Amino acid sequence: MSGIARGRLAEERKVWRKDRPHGFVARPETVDGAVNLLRWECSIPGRKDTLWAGGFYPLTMEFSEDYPSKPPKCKFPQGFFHPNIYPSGTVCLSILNEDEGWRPSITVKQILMGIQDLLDSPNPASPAQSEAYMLFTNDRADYDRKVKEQSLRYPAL
Amino acid sequence: MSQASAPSIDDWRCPVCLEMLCKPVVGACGHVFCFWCEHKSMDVFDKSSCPTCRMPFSNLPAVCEALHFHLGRTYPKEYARRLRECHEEEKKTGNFSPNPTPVFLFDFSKVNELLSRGLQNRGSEKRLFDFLEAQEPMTEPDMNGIFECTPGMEDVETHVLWEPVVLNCGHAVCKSCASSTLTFGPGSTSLCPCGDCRMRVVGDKMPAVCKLMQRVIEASPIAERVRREAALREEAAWVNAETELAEEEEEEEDHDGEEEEDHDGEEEEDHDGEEEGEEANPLPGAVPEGGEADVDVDDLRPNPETFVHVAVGCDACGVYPIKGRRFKCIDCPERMGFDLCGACHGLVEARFVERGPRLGAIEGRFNQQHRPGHRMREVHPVPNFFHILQQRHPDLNPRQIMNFIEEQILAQQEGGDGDPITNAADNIVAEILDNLEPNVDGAVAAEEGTAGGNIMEAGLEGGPVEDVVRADAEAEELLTRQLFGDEDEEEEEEEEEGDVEVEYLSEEDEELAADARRRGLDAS
Ligand SMILES: [Zn+2]
Ligand SMILES: [Zn+2]
Ligand SMILES: [Zn+2]
Ligand SMILES: [Zn+2]
Ligand SMILES: [Zn+2]
Ligand SMILES: [Zn+2]
Repeated sequence: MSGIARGRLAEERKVWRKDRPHGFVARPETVDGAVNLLRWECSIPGRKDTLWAGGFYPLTMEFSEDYPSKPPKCKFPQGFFHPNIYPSGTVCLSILNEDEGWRPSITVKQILMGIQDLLDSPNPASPAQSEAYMLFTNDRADYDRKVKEQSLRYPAL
Repeated sequence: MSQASAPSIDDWRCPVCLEMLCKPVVGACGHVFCFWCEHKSMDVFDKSSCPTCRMPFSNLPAVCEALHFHLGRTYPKEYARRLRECHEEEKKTGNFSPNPTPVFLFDFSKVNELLSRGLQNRGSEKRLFDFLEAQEPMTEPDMNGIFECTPGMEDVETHVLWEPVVLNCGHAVCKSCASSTLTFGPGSTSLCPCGDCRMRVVGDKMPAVCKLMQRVIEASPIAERVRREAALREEAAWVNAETELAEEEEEEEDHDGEEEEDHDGEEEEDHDGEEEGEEANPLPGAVPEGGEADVDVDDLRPNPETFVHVAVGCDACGVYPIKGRRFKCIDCPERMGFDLCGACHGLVEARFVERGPRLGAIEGRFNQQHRPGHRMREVHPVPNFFHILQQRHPDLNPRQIMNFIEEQILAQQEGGDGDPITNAADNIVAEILDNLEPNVDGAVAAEEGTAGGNIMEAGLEGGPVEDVVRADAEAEELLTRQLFGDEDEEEEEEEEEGDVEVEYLSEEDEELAADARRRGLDAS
């Protein structure tokens, strides 16, 4: 059950500092000067040579006291356009599902890389919003246009 | 000849806490974790899965002494720091992990000095940490002291481990020695061959080789010799097995149940695991292991053979939770209590008789010192909140029930004092009782609403494909509503009050309700 979440997150933080993938950001939020390890603010760069390139997509990771027994909840901004992102922004990805692919040994870095990968390779078997899903399956040109548009809305900070 | 490289300090990180392993345990899949990390990631209601590979397992392993001592020798300062941290944590919770002794195994050359200073005693943790911290790292593994295999075969001498598998008791045996002497799977009567612990061999099949430990062995200067010796032993065992097989074919009788721990038939390598076991007689009081608890929800009387003792583990074989008969010591004073499953109960009694009062004592998974003379009492099944929930909500799987209960426990851990599990249990039962009426009545709950993030979120998420992806959220939501009242403005045509039974909404009702809520939210 609980007890190790914060210790693990402190270690994640150290490991991340030492070995940060290029273009990614991940840090615990700071509220009034106090660090809240249970909530991380992240930014995922769209992969080069894809429609997502150029965008730096903001993502929050919410960890519970049961982490790492339970996966963190990962959220893009509400209304984020992608077939596997819920309208609320929550990412639908098997490695983030406790009953599917989540394993406590999956690191923050692996999650972020996994989500980056998901951006350009949506999983049609697991749709989470209708708009992007419909366009992705029926009207690829329009889908591509929307993705491109979205990437412009999230420039580098 | 290329020599394998020894694991570096980074290889000794626990995959759960990402820190250096502390009191390492090795799972049946060969993966290594801190004792507490493994314990905390276990499922209190059902089978657990490995934090790294998700392989299902039921038994919390005991600390692997070989790796524990190896870490202490190789990284004395870092390891002392981890032990100290872990001990401080334990003092806060009042639950302790075992202290593999004797301490002198960290360094044989210091044995006399240590003994004279009383360092081997329990309760001297601080001195141990100080001592360890002052040591210089040992660059070579202690192959003969720590990484040694005691296969318990008359004709095979103690030797250095090769391709070690770590049994649930924490002792390591070469894979080939294990396949010659031990049987695995349901009905196995094998005991650990270490000659000391005499614990039951548990698990569905032979554990996988602990790769981390094998790397240490392969990187040692004597690796080549160890490998050669292992090959010779394996060959000999193979010849033996052939002969035995021929003899057995002649005899062809009375095969069942005659196995004794000292001469389990020499099994062939490909024998392990897959086999159903030879229907050997279980130990006295044994219950079949690994069998799923067939909880018949229609039958409300708990069945003692399948009853799940939620969050209670066996201190001998580590099975967690205990399914079936359970015995509890009324003399062990430790906070954690000392419990045994049906199969181990008989075994521990036998050990007490065999070894007498001084040598018979056994150490529980949480360092309890259970001694001959302690009185064990059978704990008869009393349905607790989990069973109550299970009975009331046959449509929910244990996982869903568990998620809900865990939330409750979490809430308790954040706020309350006392044992969070007991508190949560009391709470849940109280809430079930309190909320049945308002739930059915509808009115009270509708005003308060249930503060569930899921419910809010489910309400916001619409669209034609949502049903596919929201099954889980809906199940949770359903559970929350059934337990704590429905926030929907629904006609309450159910009884006003009184001792009504829980009524479930039909599926259509559920959908209507969900729809109504969505519309309600959209409008607001
Ligand atoms: Zn750990
Ligand atoms: Zn594993
Ligand atoms: Zn051996
Ligand atoms: Zn043993
Ligand atoms: Zn047991
Ligand atoms: Zn006792």
